[in-house]
Amino acid sequence: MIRRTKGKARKSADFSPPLHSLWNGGTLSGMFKTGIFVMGIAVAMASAPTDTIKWSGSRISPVHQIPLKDEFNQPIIPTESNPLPFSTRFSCAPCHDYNVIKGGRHFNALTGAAAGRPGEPWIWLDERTGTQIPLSYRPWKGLWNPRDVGLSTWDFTLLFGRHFPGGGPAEPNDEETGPESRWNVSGKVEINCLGCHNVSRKQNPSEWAKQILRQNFRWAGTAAAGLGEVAGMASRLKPTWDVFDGPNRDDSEWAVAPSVKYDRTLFDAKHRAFLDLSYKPDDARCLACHSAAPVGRAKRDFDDDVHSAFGLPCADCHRHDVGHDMIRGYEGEDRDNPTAAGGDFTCRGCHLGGSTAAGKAVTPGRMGAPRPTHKGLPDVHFKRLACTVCHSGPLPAGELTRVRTAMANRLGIFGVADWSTPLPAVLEPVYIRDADHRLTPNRLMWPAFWARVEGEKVQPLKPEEVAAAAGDILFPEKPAVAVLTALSGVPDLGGAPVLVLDGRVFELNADGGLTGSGDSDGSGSAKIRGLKKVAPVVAWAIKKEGAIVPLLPDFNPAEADASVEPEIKIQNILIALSTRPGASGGTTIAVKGFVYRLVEGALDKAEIKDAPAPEPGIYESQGEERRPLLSSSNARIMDVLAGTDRTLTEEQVEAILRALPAKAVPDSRTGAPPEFAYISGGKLFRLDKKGTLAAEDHAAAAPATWPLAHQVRPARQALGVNGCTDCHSGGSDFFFAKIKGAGPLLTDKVMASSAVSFMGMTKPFHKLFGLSFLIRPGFKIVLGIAAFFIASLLLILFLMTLGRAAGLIDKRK
Amino acid sequence: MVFAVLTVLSLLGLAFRQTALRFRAAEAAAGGAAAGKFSWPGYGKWLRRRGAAVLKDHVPAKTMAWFNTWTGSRYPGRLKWVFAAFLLSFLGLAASGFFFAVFIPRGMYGWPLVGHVGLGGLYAAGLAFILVWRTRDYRFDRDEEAAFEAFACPMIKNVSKAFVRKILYWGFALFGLLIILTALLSMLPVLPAEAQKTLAGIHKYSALASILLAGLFADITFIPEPRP
Repeated sequence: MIRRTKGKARKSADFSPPLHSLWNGGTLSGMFKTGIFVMGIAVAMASAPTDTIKWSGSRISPVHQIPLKDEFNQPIIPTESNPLPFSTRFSCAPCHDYNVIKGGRHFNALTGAAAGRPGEPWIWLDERTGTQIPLSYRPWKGLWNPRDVGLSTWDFTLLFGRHFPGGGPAEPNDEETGPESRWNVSGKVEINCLGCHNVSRKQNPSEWAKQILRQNFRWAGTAAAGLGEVAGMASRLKPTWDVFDGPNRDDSEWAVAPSVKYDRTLFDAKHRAFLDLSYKPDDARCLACHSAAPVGRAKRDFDDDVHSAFGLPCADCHRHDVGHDMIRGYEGEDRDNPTAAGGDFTCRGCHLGGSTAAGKAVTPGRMGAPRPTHKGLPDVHFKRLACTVCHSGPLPAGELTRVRTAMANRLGIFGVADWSTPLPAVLEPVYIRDADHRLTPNRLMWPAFWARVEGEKVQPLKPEEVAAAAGDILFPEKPAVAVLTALSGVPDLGGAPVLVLDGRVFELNADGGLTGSGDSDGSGSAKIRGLKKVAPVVAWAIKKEGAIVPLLPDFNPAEADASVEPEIKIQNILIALSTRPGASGGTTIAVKGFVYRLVEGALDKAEIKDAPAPEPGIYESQGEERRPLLSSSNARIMDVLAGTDRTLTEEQVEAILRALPAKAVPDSRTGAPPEFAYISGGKLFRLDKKGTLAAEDHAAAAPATWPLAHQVRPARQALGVNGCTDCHSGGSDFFFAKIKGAGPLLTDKVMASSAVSFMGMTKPFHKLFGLSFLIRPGFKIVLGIAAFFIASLLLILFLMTLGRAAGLIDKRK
Repeated sequence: MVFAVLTVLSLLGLAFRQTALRFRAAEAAAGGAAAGKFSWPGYGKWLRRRGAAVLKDHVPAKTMAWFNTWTGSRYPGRLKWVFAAFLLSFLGLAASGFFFAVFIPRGMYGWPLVGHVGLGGLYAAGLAFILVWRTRDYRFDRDEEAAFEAFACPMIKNVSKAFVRKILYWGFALFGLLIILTALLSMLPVLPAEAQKTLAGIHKYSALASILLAGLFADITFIPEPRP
């Protein structure tokens, strides 16, 4: 039996006219009829029950063959032209109260709900400016509130909507929408119910991300669920467009309004769609956003969490009711969030039982959880360590393991473009004390950002502010890109133009940037033939059939006959280079004591007699002064950054710190420009009094950390399975793993520490304590021998006493 | 918590008994208080006076003198240093163990724990040596067998002081064995975590019993005669 409880009526705004019918040639009388119809519905619904379904006890889920509704609560007729995308708010609403679901864990970050234990932050990444700011609307230590760094809900949705399940900041109230936003064009991102509950293999997180990128917010759920095909891009529409306007009849190529073409095979004759839904989401739905895996490991070598391997889906532990107040499963959760049944689903709750943080008794063995014996493990370990210390994440190694997570590194979005990013560097496991002073394994990332500094306070700058001030400092490869792009247009070049920098080969990529390959010792994948290693080791060349050959053939300009073909090529190259952005028109090519240049479109060749001949190469000339097309500083920056995941050098940071004050508004009181700094790798960099870059410690440079719970390893792979010395030894990786700051800045000036300092412990003690385990076997032997002698004596005493008491000894005598 | 309360009460009780007996012995020797009557004010004065005297006296020298006397016949030659090591380790273990058990909710950790464990080895070896070395002196002889026959309350009136000392001695050995075994077993991967908790409990209570027995032993051995 389905029981319903009374709920309040929906707002009248929820029952707007069926606008898609207006697109299809609505008339005034039609509008009037529609208005009457809507009013009727509104009156009827005002007294309709809207609350949640109570579970009847049936253990099966209903088949969801349901009428889909659009965001105006009108039924979707897939055969109509230009139907609107379906709305979860109204399609799911008859049975599932959307407003109750909105309070769920995935959607309530803005509501001030109990934050609980820190979770993974959103990381605002801008590789070019070296920005990686950990963000959260929840008040977790070390994270920035998006509002405080100038991110509106619109910005936040654009940045992170790719892995966001909708609702919350992606579906803001009207008062939270700023003038810069385009919600009226894009629509809001309703909670994507199907993103989790759709069993269909068609459910496509990549499609979701793509639609969010296109600002097709209201269409994203429909497209991602495979209910229909969505075309058009809201991002290309004028800000004045809204869904009332329908298709853009002026532009069918570029600014195409989003539209959906439903898969009609999913609908029955009554226009009810079959949604293949599951009460418990599949693991793949969770992992779309919650994947994490070590960098550089092959997929085949990666083991599932032991619970998954034993057939336990994520949702078996991470449960919730219709309120979607997800059980997170950490110890102390029932204290942080008394309404959730968190204490039952901790490691201890299932495996050991006992009582929760809030004092509730828990019976162990839920879902067949085995009871561990932990033979020989002193009780202090249970008091001072979370279970995950030994059982989750990678085993401690000399250095932390670098992982990539779906949310931080944009994993799980597949297509032609590679969305994933090497940055930010997320490291694990670092052991930190939790609210109950237990060591807990955490993931860690080092924030990196440019900031305005006022005393001890730092205020992050938006990447666009930095980019505006820094200009070309952030684009050292820009001149090279211009040259290579120009050279690409040279007829009969014989291959793809490339830049060879100290043995590394750079070529144009599809994104209009450069891709570097090879090592600085020239041992790269492409063989370099005929290029002399001369200083500056910069050469423009051609990549031909996997080999790198000189741009110009080896010839002697003094021999007129031999120079004809090469000089035609030189002329073509100079013509092409003269068209590149930033060209001054004075491009010259030096070859063996001769200099070529264009004079009024014709090739001019001049022999240099009264001055030292320049090195062979291409130059930008002004009078007698010749500069290489790629400055030595840009070449140096490109060279050192190539092959790394770093995006900035100290040289760039120093230059940008000089550039920022020039663009900043001076202090109104003092008239002095504000002070700026850059944070990376656990250090704050700023210019000292001498104007050179100096690094210092600062609270704002401290890493953001959040506990990790998975991957749980099998008991036989737990830390400590080999004995105490897994942790307690003089060189223990658990205590003494090196932790070094990592960030976009290529520098040696990073925060360096060892794991033990993050634990709040002292290194000398654990060194000595670890070393004591060398003599522990001997110690045990001493205790054993002592116990043996004492026990023997006591036994003899006991037997003698017994013998005397029984008179046996006397009789013997 | 129970252990802490029990420890404080029993140690205070032991201290009171030791001092009160000495006070009464001193009173009796001086012909002061009437037999069977305990004067609290007098006890208070004596305690203050005795405390001040202890602080004023040359405690190290007196302790060394006592040590030399006690070990002179029992632990000849360098063996006295074995006894000294045992005694110091026992006192160190008791002090560190009870301090953390009573005053530190977290229990023992860090450097004190390392020290405690290290002293534990010394204690175990020392105890085994002393028991082996001194067993002959603490054998129950035939005369004392009557005590077993008269094993009834109040037994203390039926047995000799030497016999009680032997009981205390072997009791001390028994609890010492429990202390050592619980420490040893907790370091071996044989017992599950729940058993580890039980071991820790046995270890603590055995330690408390040990110190009380040692106190009573000292009570019988060193409280001057005449006794009330």
